[in-house]
Amino acid sequence: MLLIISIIAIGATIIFGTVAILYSLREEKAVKQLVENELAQKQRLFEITMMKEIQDRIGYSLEIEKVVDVIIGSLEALLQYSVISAVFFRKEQLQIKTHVKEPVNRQYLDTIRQKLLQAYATIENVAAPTIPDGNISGVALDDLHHTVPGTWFQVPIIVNDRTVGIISVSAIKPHGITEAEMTTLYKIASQTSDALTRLENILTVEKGKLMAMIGSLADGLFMLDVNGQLTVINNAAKDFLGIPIDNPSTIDLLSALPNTYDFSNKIQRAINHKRVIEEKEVTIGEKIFQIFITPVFDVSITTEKKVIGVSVLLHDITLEKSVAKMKEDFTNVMVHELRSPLTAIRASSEMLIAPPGPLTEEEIKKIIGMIAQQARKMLDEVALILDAAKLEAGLFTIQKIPSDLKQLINERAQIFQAPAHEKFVNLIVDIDPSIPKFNFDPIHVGQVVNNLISNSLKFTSSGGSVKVTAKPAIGSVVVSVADTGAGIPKEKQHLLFTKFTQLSGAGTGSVGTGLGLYIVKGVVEAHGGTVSLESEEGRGTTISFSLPIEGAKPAVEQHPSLIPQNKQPKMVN
Amino acid sequence: MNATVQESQKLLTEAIQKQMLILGPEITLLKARSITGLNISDDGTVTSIVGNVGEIITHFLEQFRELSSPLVKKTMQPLFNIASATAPATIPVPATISQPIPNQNKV
Repeated sequence: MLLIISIIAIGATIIFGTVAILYSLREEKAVKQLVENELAQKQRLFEITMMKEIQDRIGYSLEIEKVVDVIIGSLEALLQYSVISAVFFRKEQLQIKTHVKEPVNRQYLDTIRQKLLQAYATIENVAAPTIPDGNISGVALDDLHHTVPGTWFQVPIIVNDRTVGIISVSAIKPHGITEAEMTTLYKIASQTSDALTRLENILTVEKGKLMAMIGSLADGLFMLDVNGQLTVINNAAKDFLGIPIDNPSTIDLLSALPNTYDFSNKIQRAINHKRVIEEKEVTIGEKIFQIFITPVFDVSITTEKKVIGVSVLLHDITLEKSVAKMKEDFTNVMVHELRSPLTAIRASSEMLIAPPGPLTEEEIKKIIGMIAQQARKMLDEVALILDAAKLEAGLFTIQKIPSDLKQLINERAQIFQAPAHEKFVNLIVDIDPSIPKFNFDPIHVGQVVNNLISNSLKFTSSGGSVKVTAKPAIGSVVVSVADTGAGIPKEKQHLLFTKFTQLSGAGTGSVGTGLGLYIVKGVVEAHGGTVSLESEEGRGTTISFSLPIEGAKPAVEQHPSLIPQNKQPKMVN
Repeated sequence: MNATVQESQKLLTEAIQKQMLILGPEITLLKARSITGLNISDDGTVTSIVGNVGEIITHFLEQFRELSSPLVKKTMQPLFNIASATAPATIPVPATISQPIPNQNKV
């Protein structure tokens, strides 16, 4: 019985013991699992925190140094290291940075640096570069201890197939860093590489778009960094400054800028005062520019405005200035043109109101005639302005009626014979008799002929000649007024038919109102014709216009080629 | 030992020794030795390969891709060629069966 009890007791003890051991093992396993989970969680949390910080710090910048700084600053929370060192690119130069956490000697740091540079050379397949120590932070070096790292590993950061940095982590203690800890840092570096690659690609695309936009600007634009180095210049700026090189250097730019304008000083002022400097009128070569020097700020810094360079915009205002001058001159001329008849009218009417003595009927008639003549002159001037205004507004109309161009030219030329004779200018008229009668606006075409002859006489010196020719062409008549006057400089010829352009006759002292040729062009074009100009300085000018033959009635010596075939009469504009 | 294994052994040794210079010997050997069938000495020499060479190389590349994918792309190009040459043939894609064009006139 005692034996049975003993056996049962032993059996129970064994069973309970086994169960207890099993439970104990299970508990130990659970605790181990818990610790492992906790560690994994901790590493995951570290990974997320560091990635967030890296992203916050780099923003839209590709500065690898910022990434290195974040990792150096945060790594202590992940693993126990003695020295962390990194080689990276700053402004296209390889740099090195080291943080010493536990005392090591100089040889230790030299070994780490050599390993980093050897790693760089191995990845990039180049000779190992030589660079100085760089920035060393942390505890002081102790030359008595620790000449070699007990454990070390290196983490490369590669962006778009380029090694932009390598981080080295080492510990004095052999096997002082676990595989899991190393793997976490590799994951962070890998994600950073991906993020930087994506960012660089986006920035490349955006930069491409920006460069295309800058390149297509009509205004000249160039940008300089804070050190005065040229970073961007568009084609318009190169054209304005006369720089023929594709990729000009800062020196090329500086030598192209005019000495009369102190660019360096203005740029420095824009940087120092952080405000736009506007120059209303700067002459560069033969052009006039409005210049804006604008400081460019670093958008990644939101707390303060950090200037990273300046942009210089050259806005060509040559044409605006020229138009403004034309308007000013026009006003002066018009005031003068209207003041003369008004003065004459006032003087004449005052003479009628309060004559100095008794006036004969003939004298009174003469004075009234003068008033009427001056009033007509004023009306003509006003009509000219009104026509110009209508042309500009697109409201100008012509009244085409069957008319005789030969007769019209002869009559107008006749009016100018006396003044031509007074000026000793030979006025010749050569009209082809085969020109038929056709539909055109005789009043406005008469104005055109008047204007051209008047201009030619104005700009032809004594002894010269003005020749008016009218010839038939296919389906049209071409009228030319050629003079032996001063001629028009090539650079001014394109302005001739624009509003307010006044010609100053070389040596003649004559000026025009500036509206005449503008209206000539408007009248001819309203008829469906064209105006052309041939001029050579010192040789003379020929202005020709054509009028389409519409509704032709055969002349006495009608040329068959003149009558347009199947030509429908045009509607009156 | 056939030529492919011998060549693979040489290329793997070169790759491991290169990674030892770049990443450091400790992590490189840890990762390389985790691959079944690959025996490596402390200086990074592959002493033997046991098993399917293609699979071992693929596994090797995967291990190092986990550390740095761009680094693998930049420094292990010769291994890619062997991995792709020894990879099992892919199932041929059946030729596209052109569907009959529906009768346009059919209502």
